Amino acid sequence: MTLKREEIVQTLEKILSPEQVVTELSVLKESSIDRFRRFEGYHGVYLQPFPAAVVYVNNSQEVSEVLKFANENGINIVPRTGQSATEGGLETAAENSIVLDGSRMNKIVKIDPYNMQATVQCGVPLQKLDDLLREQGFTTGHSPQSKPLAQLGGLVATRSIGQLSTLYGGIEDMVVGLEAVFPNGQISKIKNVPRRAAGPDIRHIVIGNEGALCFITEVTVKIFKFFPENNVYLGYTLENMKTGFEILREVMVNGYRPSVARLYDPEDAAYHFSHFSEGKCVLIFIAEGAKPLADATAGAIREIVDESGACTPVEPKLIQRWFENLNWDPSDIAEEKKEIIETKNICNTTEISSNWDRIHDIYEVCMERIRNEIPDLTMLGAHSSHSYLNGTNIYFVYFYNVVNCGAEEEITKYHLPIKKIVVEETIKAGGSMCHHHGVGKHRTHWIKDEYGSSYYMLKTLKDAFDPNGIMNKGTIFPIED
Amino acid sequence: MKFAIVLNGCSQTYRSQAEEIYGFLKTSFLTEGEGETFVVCENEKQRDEIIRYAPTALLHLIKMDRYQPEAILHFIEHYEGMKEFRYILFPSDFAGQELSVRLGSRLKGSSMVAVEEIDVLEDGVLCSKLVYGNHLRGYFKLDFPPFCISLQKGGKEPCPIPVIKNRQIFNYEQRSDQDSFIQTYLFKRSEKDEGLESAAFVIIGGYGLGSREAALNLQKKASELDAGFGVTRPVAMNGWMNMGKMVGVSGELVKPKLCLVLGASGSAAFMAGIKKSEFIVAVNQDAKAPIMNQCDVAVIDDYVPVMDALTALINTWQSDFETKRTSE
Amino acid sequence: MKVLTCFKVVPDLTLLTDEDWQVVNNQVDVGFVKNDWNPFDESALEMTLKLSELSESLSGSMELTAVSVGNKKIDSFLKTLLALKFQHAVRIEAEQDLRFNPHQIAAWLAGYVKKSHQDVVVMGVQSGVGDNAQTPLLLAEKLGWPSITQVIGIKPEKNGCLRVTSQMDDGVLEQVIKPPVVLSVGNAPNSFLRVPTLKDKLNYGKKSVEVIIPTDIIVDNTTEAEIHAPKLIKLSAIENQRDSVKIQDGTPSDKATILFNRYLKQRLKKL
Repeated sequence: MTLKREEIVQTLEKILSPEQVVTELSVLKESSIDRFRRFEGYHGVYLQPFPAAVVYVNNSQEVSEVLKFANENGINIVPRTGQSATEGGLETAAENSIVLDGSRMNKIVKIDPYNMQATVQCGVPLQKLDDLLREQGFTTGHSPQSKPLAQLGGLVATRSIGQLSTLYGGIEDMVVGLEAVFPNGQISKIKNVPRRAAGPDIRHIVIGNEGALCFITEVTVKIFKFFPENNVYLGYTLENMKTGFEILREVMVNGYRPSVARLYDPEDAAYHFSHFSEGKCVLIFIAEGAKPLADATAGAIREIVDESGACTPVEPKLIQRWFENLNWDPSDIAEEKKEIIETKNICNTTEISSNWDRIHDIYEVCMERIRNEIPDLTMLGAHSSHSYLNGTNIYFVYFYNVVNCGAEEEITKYHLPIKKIVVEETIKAGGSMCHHHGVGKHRTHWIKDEYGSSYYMLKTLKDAFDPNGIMNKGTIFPIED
Repeated sequence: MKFAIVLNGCSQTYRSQAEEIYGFLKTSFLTEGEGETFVVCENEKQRDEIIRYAPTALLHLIKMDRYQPEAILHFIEHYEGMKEFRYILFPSDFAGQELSVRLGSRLKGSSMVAVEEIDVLEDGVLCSKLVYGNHLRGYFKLDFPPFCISLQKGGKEPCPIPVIKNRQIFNYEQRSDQDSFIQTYLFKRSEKDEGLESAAFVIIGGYGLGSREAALNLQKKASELDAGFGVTRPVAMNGWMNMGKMVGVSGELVKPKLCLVLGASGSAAFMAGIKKSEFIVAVNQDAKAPIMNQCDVAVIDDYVPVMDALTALINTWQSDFETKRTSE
Repeated sequence: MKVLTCFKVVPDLTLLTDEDWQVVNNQVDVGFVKNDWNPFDESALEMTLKLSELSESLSGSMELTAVSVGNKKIDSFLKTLLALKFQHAVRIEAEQDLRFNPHQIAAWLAGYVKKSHQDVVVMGVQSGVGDNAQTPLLLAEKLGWPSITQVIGIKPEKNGCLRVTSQMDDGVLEQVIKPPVVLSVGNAPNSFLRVPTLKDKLNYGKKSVEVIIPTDIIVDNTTEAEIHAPKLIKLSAIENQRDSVKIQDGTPSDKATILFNRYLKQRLKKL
């Protein structure tokens, strides 16, 4: 028997306290979407079912009790912390959902510089943790664009990656241990050790689960020594992407680890670097760490780039200033909202990855198809921002004018058709359809193609940990009626 | 050194224009006795106020149909004694800006807008003003008198104008065809804007309020102090105050002269919403909260007793100030 | 009706860090941050496009020209305006430092206005770096045209007139006026320029930017413009950081008293 809205709210108020259960309509509206539907939100159009309540929890025990209640009554739970999601992961797809907000769990539990790890509750903002660490000469090494907004729980849940990933890795390389709560109320803690060969690495059941398996309450991440004074910034312009990918590969396969290795195509470069790109591609590296390492890395990269004979260096300060302003500045977000409402021009992105041998093909075919098939585009560009030994990613960036349709059609008329092209072409070429934003609710359609025969393993996790299907319905796993 | 002042008596802001100029005069090398004020006015009703608050004893009253820069410029440009003035001062407002530059051009003098301070040079005048988007102060030499200067908004403290005896008043009536390009003219006086975004004094409560009751209490207090009231995103998201009161990037962006922030930690998203405030005071128990290093004054304490004491102080002072001002 | 919209491309000064504010030879190097439309000019450009659209049905189309002063680095901005269907995109070629010389800019613009027989000039009231707030006013004087400042709306009217809404110090003024006129745009409610599609960029962006050498358009004597321009004597840093004075000793009431007497009393007086 499904519970009515009021009954859900009443029970939640009993389990927690009335003060922790918010039912204010404007809050519910705002909590029914994330940045994926911001165009609708900016125009006051809210089409997702409003949640029954937004619930603020203070500790793991409370999380456990709320999950047990939801699990017993088949109520959908949408976990969240910093609310910077971009792929619909926070949309409340089912009627009478409970939005489970961990942002009040914001204690820094322990900073342990001897063992080089920091333990924090899920609601600790990354910016706060990293600022605190930097005061003491350390860093998390994690720097996604959402850093000023995102909190640790959400970052781990979405398999976040930062701009410095080529040196420090993605969040999966940083998480040492964690605590998560499952739908049946089970609170599980994975201990913090350097490595173990004691069966499969169960951290990976939790990292990237996007709230579809469990609620993350605490994480322990590695910390690194921070030497910003040693940073070496390198920037170049070059004629084409193919050469750029070759240079990136050369740097990676020779074992060099710059923190940043990025390649912009001419359109994307014109957007970020109009003051110097002059219609060309832009290639960027930052070498950091202890001085001998940073210098050696920078020196080797310079050599590789010089050998290619294809690049013209630019003033390092140009790169430094750009890098310092890369993260979402909250005032830019406010400005963006105003601009979108006035101009009806909006930017969205899709990020994929592939091995070196197909990456340029994917780039070419996607650009060509989007340009030809999608109306009202005002900008279409791409960049590679995270490279690995065996391949790299591409971040497609597109702006379009939303014309001759309602705000609610923006997604179906523009954004999803573009995503479809990128995802399908990538999967066809053997790449991955999601590099770092997560699946959210709008790429679930292709999840089986993404996984192939290994979908069995993924689905088994869902069936085992969330047999009643209460965790973030429609995220990672498509809603199948 | 003779100087002139040009004020717009057609505007309701006349008195504050005069007090602004008077405040500037007090801190400059110019002496009141050597100044003459030119005021444009529309009708007889304003006459008394204009005379009472004119910043110099000598006053030229120019009656016109309405504020119209072409006609005003035409009059002043052709006023016979204009050549005698080495300085012509204008207030910081829109009218002051447009008149100063255009008059400077017509009189073959030099002009500058938004001037903070002036200093005498042997062969000109040195003016300082903010440049590079308020990041730097520039010092400029103006060579050709008359030096037509409009002031920087909020640059110097306005100064009440004392009662001036022995006023000398010259009246003019100006009808001109300078504004014949205008076919229709419709002026709507703006109502006092009550919105948070335009409030001069704003009080904002953060998550440290802790409850809906505390938020409502603070809102009441703010209205008693004639301040706009806002809250941070967590307060709104917890349902303690409606979303319309939210300050920050997803809510209102405020730019008051005085912004009092209570119990807010100062997330980047919130700070962006108040960063254009002229003066920020933060009250918070947590000395390490980010806002404590991004404000002008940080009071480290529980906001409740601090606010109670502060309200009492403001109320006492306010009644004193009002009595003093009306008796002047 | 021929409408000329003047704009300036300015560096995004918010991207500069404290250490960048080094004054060398009375200048600050702003060359390594992104450029963008001067916000007031951006409003002016969008306002011009809206005016032209409205005019289409009322009294036929307008001939739109966009003009800026500078070197070829600003051509991409002019190309964008061509893609937005400005018929002409004009650049007055200049390499010299004009940050504090609105007189020179106004002289060139006046020359171009006369040469190309414009009816209306639209531009922002002020632009960054120099913050002179003088160019449109000086231009009006050089042309001998009337001027309306702080414009927030322009609409077409019959018989070649315009309905111009502008902010006054104590209200809003709406006038129907007969050009010629110089309109300088203030804090308009719509401040963003629309974005051209890739298709329009392809179709209209092929047109080339007209480059004009100043000596071709100067009608009055340039030296006058230079002499009357104020001379920059020096630049000095101002403290932008807030002081963050801490009040932490004594009872809450002591703290409130210190706060009030030292910091609030004077400020409240100004309100």
